[in-house]
Amino acid sequence: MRGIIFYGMGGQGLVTAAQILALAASLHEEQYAQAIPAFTADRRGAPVHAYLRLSPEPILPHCFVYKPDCVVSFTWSATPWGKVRRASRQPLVCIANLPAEQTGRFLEQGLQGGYLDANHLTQEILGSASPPNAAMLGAFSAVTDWVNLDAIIEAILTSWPGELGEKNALVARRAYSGVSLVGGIR
Amino acid sequence: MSTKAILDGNRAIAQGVRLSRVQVISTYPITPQSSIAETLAEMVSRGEIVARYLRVESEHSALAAAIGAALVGARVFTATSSVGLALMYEVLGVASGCRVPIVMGLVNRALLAPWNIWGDQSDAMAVREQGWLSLFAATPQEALDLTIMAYRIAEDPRILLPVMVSIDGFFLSHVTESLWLPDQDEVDSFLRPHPLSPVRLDPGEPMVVNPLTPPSQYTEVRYEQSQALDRARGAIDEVMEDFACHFGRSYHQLQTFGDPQGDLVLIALGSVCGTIQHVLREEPLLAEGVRFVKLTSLRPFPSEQLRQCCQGARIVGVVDRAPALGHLGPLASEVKTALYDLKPQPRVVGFVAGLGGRDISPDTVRRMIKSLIEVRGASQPPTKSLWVDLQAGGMP
Repeated sequence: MRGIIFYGMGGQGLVTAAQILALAASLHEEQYAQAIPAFTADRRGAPVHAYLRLSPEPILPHCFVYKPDCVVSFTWSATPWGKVRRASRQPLVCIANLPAEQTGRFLEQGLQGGYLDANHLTQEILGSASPPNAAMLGAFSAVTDWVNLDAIIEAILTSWPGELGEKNALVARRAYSGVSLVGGIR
Repeated sequence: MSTKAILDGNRAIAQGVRLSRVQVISTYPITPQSSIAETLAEMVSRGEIVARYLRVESEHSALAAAIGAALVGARVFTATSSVGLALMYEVLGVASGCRVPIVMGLVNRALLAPWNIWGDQSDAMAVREQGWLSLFAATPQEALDLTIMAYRIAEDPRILLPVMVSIDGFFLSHVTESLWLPDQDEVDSFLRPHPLSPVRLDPGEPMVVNPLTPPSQYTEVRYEQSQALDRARGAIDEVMEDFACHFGRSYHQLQTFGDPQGDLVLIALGSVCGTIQHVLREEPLLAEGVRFVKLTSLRPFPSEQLRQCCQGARIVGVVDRAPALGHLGPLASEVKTALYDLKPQPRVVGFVAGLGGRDISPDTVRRMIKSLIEVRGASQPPTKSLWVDLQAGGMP
């Protein structure tokens, strides 16, 4: 069983991202999945987080993830990196949304996994007000291979029917091929 | 044929309501129950459920309207949480006293004060003497299945009592999980249309329901209620067995896991059951000598089955996701009463944890098991419940 924590800001769609991954793994692959939103009085712009479990067997725990195998950071400054490093399983896989000029942060921290400018990629295809969650899903698949990209695309198209789904699927594909891999996690 | 789906606990309950062909839905939204009310409203508007959706002005009205609909013979659903249930309190006893087979989805949330919108089981515990059957789901799948089973149990002519199906607020209501969604034909073969109750309002044959009942009759009516609750033990077993035959998933009023010879027993209700099972599976050294009893039925309380499960135990720990105020926690009190006559008599230790949305983490579960081990070696076991997840610096 693998545990994943998503960190970011309200409005970035990270709760939806966890749910889409759960849908992809559960309905389009043979995995069991459990998505847990943070139970806070969330609002746009405030730090939020969400949890995901993936397993080949039925999932027993109904509690938060305390020792993640993977951290997906939608916003670098909203991710408690110190806590993440202390509590995580090793090797920890990290996927970070970072502007091109800040990618050095990922390497300075000695993290393994991958990074991409999900905001920029999303803005190019979907416009500036769109959340970067499809991009982070594509990057997650490329870095971990825990959920296949095709399954994620299916789940995206189910969750957002029509043109919105097609555009988000394109974002996910571009992120899959464009994410910078660090440390040979796969 | 069932299909694989992914749903949170609230939507799983809504699917259970749809599949049960409910005819009247009477709910008032409240966190964390709201998405049950919203999902059902969407289903009705799309024609997926052929039901009257009553938009009421409060929880008191929601249940009062549900009672009225049930009294004319409709299959009825309502749902609420916490202070919503508190506002229903006056009407809860009317539903059970009028013997109407309403099913309620109760999304467990803390009672006030301090103000809190998150989960614990204070609400369900506060109403356990109101004559309702009270079942607890431990997963979204169980939430769906118990909702369907609840109608079979409630409408059984030997029972005719309302049933509340509890799910932990957020830890089940908002957790999305893989589950099996039965198809309508399967459910139709398990749950027949609502049989018309003999207690039914009919303009053709006018009668008064719930008239002023004098001292010469009140006790007898209450006694009949208690007899129906006692009969429900057998009815629940029958329905659960038949459910397993139809759907392949086994349910029990209580179920034992872990070391069957263990002299330490831990008992819990609701979503924490999975976390406890996970800890026991992952940590065999800690799990040595530990039996785990997962309770599904709080009312009727399966006392005899519990005594059998606890035979030979020295220490029995009980997890209360509700505060112990002035006595042991509510579930610990129930368990202690049930085990009083057991020989040899085990010591009962109450644990309070997971209040107001606090997670019951694997660490908290480990702490409870270690406490049981310590109590086994102690000459004087604690007489008060142990609040095992207090945080340093958390005091006001």
